[in-house]
Amino acid sequence: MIFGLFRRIRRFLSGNLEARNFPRFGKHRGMYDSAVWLVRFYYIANIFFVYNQLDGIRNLGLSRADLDPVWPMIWLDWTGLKLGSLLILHLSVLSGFLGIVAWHMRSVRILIVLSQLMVAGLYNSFGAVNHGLHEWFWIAFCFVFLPSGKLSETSDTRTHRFTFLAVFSMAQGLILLFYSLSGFYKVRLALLALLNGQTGGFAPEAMALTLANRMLQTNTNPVWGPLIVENYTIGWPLYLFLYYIEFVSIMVFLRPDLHRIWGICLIAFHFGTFLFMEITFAAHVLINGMLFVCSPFAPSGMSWRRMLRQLPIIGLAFRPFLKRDSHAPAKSYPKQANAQT
Amino acid sequence: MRKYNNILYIIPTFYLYYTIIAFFGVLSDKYEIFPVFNWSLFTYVTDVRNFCEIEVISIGDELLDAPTPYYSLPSKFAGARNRSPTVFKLLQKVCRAKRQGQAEKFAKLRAVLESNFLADQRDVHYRLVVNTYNPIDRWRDGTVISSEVLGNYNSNERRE
Repeated sequence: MIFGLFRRIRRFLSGNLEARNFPRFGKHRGMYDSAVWLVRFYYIANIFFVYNQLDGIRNLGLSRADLDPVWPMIWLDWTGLKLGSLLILHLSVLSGFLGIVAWHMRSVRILIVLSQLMVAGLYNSFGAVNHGLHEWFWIAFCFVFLPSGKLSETSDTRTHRFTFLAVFSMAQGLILLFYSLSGFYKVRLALLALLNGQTGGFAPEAMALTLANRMLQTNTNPVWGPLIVENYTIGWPLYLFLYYIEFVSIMVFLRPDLHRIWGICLIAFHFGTFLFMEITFAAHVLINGMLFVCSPFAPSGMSWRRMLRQLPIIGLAFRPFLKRDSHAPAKSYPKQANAQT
Repeated sequence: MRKYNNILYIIPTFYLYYTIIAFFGVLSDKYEIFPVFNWSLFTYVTDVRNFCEIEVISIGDELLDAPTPYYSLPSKFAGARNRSPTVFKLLQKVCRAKRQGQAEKFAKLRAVLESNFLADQRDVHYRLVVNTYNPIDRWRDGTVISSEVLGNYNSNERRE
C-alpha cells in the first residue's frame, strides 16, 4: 500500500500523467557505469578540495582568535585551536587519500564525512556560519549509503546496481531540495509582501534592492550589479526566472529530461551570483555539473520539445501544442554468465 | 532486493527529517543546527533595511577623518580586504545581543569579533551603528534614513 502511494506521488512529481513508455532504470547498466565514474570523480575532486583547504586550516590554527564553535567543534575547547586544527588537517589528508583508493569501503566514506564535518565546522566556528562547504558535505553523507564492497565482486548483481543508482539519485534529490527550500522561502515572503501591498521579491525593483544592499554590506563593486540597480526593469525578469528555477527544482528530480538543462541553469545562476554580487560558490558549480549536467539518468540527446513539456507547472501550458515524442529504445546488454537477479 | 527497497524508504524519510530540522533550526541560538541549513538566502527583499555596521573612529594614534565603515578600510583589515561575509553576519548577532540586553552573549561575540577581524591593528576605537536606509538610495548617494549608535568600544580594552 505504501509503495502504491509512493508510485502515485512519483508519477505526479515526474509529470508523467500519461503512462510512461520507459522505466526510470530502463538502461540501468549504462546508468550504473556513469554513476560509478561520477562517484569516483567526486572522491578525486574531494582530495583537490582537501589540498585547497590545507593553507586555510593551517592559518586558522595559528591565529589567536576567540572561537564561537558550532556543536561538532566543542572539543576544541579542550584541545585548543592549534592542536585541534592540526588533528583536523591530518584527518582531512588521510581521509582524502583513502577516498581516492578505497572509496568503495563504507568505513572510508564515513571517515570522509567526518573529516568534512570537522573542516566545515572549523571554518564556521568564528562567529557566523557560511554555506560554501555544506553541499559538498551532504553529498558525501548521501554516498555513505552506497553499497560497499569491491565493484569487481559486486557490480554484477541487479540489487547492487539499483541500490547504487538509488543512492546516487538521493544525492541529486537532496541538492535539488536545497534549491527548492531556498526558493520556497523567497516565494513565501514575496507573496506575503505582495498581499500586504509592500515591496517584496516580486516587485520590479526586487533584484536592484537585493544587489544594492549586498554592495553596501561588503563595499563591493560587482561587474553587472550597478547596471541592474540603475536599470532595475532589466533585473525583474531575471529575478522572477531565478525564483522559478529555485522553487520548482525538487520537481526536476524525477524528470531526467530536465537534468542537464537544470544543471546548466543552476551553474549559470552561480555565475550570476559572482557577476551581480561578487559571491562565489565554486563547489556548487562543480556539483551541478557532476550531478545534473552529467546525470546518468538524462537521456542521451536533448529534445527541446520533451524539455518544454516536462517543465514544472509552466510545462502544462506547452503540452497541448507540443506532441509527445518517444524515447529511444533502451540499449540492451548481453546477459552475463554469472549474473544474479 | 531488500537493500534496494530499504533505500527507497530511506530517501524520502531523510528528505523529510532534513526539511523539518532545517525549518526549526532558525529557533536555535545560532539560527541553524549546523550542518542542517534551511537555505534561506537573500530571502528578505524590502525597500527599508536595518543593518548593524562597524564604523572605525581611530586606529592606534591615527584619528580617521570621519567614522569609517569597516569594509572601506581594506588596507587595514584582512576581513575588509577579503570582503568576508562572516564579519557582517557576526555583527548582526553582536548588535542583536546588545539590543536584547544579553550582556554575557554580547561580551563573548564581541571578543570573537575583535580577536578575529580587528586584530590586524592594535587599539582600534570603533562604534557599533544600526543604520536604516533604502538600499538603492544609499547606494546612489549615501542617503541614510536614520542611525542609532549602540556604543563606542576599543578593541584592546573590551569595555564600553
